[in-house]
Amino acid sequence: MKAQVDTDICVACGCCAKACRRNAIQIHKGIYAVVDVEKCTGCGLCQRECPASIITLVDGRALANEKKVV
Amino acid sequence: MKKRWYDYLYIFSALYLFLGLFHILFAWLGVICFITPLLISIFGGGKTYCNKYCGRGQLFELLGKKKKLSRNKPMPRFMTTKWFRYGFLIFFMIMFLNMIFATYLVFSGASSLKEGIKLLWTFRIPMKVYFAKNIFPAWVYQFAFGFYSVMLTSTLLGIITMLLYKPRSWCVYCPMGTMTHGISILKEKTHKKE
Ligand code: SF4
Ligand code: SF4
Ligand code: SF4
Repeated sequence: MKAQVDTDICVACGCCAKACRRNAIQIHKGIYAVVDVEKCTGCGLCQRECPASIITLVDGRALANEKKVV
Repeated sequence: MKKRWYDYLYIFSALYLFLGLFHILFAWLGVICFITPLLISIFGGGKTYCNKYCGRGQLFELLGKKKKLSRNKPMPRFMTTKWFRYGFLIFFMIMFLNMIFATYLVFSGASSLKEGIKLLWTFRIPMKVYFAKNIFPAWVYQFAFGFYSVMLTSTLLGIITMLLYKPRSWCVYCPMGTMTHGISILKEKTHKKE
């Protein structure tokens, strides 16, 4: 399980990044949060914190593929 | 995690509200919280202010998370939409300009100083300047009352959504946050075009 951010709604508040103990989330240019799939353990702390409730935990492999596409 | 100096800025935010009650001129300090985030994002720092230095965000986090006052429920979907966020920003700006206009009227001498604050843009709460009333021109006090009203109103809204939803729900529709977010997006777009 990995954390995935709905970048369309994300307001880049940084609550998720602050909550993550593994420092896996960066705020990209003040626009949205990006999860580093290598670091993320899927603990869900960020999901709990996000005020917009837009973080979902999805299968690690799916996200890794997505990362390759990007 | 190691605490840094800026993790204590919530003290400044809380203190600000008390200082304003003590003497309205302290309301002017709040201008810092309006200008700093804008400057940071204009100069390419994105939402660093929100992410690190905003005492208000920290205050909501403290009350909602540490003090467990928040229900910690997701906020209604519509409140996270661009329509709502930018709509609220526009409404907020209109009310802000309204306040500036009231200040201008006092400045130009068209109206006299109205002491008191307005909560939620509706409820008048009488408040007096007990001392140091004549050091500055009247408009300085008028602006202070208006600005303090803005700060108190937004804190109140933030506290309500902190209680009902996630601790930092305010940060989703905070006009400052929306502005710095908008600026960051605009900067990125224009940057790509170049
Ligand atoms: S799920 Fe846990 S490890 Fe992954 S980004 Fe969120 S807080 Fe960090
Ligand atoms: S907490 Fe939610 S809204 Fe805020 S930056 Fe993270 S994903 Fe975006
Ligand atoms: S969104 Fe508003 S309240 Fe939240 S951190 Fe940013 S400036 Fe502060």
